[in-house]
Amino acid sequence: MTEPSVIHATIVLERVYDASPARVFQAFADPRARARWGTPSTAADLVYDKTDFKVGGLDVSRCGPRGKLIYRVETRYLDIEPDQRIVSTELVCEGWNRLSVSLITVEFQALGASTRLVLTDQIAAFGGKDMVAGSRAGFNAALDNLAAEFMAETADG
Amino acid sequence: MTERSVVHSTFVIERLYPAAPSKVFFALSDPDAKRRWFADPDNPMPSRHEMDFRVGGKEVNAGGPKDGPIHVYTATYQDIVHDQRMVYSYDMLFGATRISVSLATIELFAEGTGTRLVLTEQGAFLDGHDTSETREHGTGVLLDLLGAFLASNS
Repeated sequence: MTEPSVIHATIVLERVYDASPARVFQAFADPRARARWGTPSTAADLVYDKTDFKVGGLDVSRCGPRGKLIYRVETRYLDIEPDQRIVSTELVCEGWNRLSVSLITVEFQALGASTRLVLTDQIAAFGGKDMVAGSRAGFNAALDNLAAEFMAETADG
Repeated sequence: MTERSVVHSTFVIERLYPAAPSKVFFALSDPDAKRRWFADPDNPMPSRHEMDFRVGGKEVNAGGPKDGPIHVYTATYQDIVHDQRMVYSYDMLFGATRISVSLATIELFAEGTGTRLVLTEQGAFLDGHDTSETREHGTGVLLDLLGAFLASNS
C-alpha cells in the first residue's frame, strides 16, 4: 500500500508580550507553566509525563479533549540560548499512528521593556488529518493564553 | 549578549535512480551500505559513524579537515515507512558551534523500474554560520553519490 504524500508547510506566528525576554523564556522553560498556557481551551488538557528541558532532552506529553488525551507528543530540544531562542522538534502521534513532525523555532527579542516573540513551525504532515491547520490553531490559542499569564502577574502584583 | 539570528528555508531536491524503491531504501537505511556512499567528498574519512535506524534512533557522523574544526552531524529518526518514507531531524556542529537544525523528509516513488526520490529539507540556519544554498548544494552532491552507488550495484 502506498502512503499519501507528505504535506510540508511553514507557519509563522508573532506576538508582543508585556514582559521581559527572560520572563517569557521562563514560561517556555518551566513545564508547569507550559502545561497551563499550552492547553488550547478549557475543554482540552495537556499533561507532561516526562520533561527534560536541555539540549538533547526529551519531553513526552499527552493532550486532547479533557478526559480523552488521544494525542502523544514527543518534544526534543536541539538548541537553547537562554532568554533568546529555543529550537525543538515535535512528533505528534495518535495511538501507533504518527501524524506529523515539526521543527519549531521560538525567538525572543527585547522590544523596550516588552518581548517580541516569533514562533516558526516548519511542519511535515503525513497522517491524513489536517495537521497543518490543527498545528496553527493550537499554537495561536496557546500564544494567546501566554499573554494572559503575564496579565495575571501584573494584576497580582 | 550575542546577537542571535535564524534564517528559515525549505528546499526540495529530486533524483531519478535506476533501482527499485526497496534498493534505494536499503542504501539509505542499512549502516554498512550507507557508510559506502554517505561521505563528505572533501573529507571522505569520517572519524565516527554510528547509525541506529529506528524511530527515535540516532545517527552520528563526525569528521572534518585535519587542521580545522570537527564537523558533527547528529540525526534522530522521527518517522519511517519501509521502502517509502523517512523523516529525520538533524543538527550540524562546527566545533562547539551549532550552525543549523533541520527537518528532512525523503519520499520514494516507484517510477517504471526505477525510483523517484524527493527530499524536502526544512531548515533553521543559526546566527549566520551557514546558508540554505550551501546546504542544498551539499545535499545534492550526497544524492549524486547515492546515485553512483546504486548504479555500481545494479
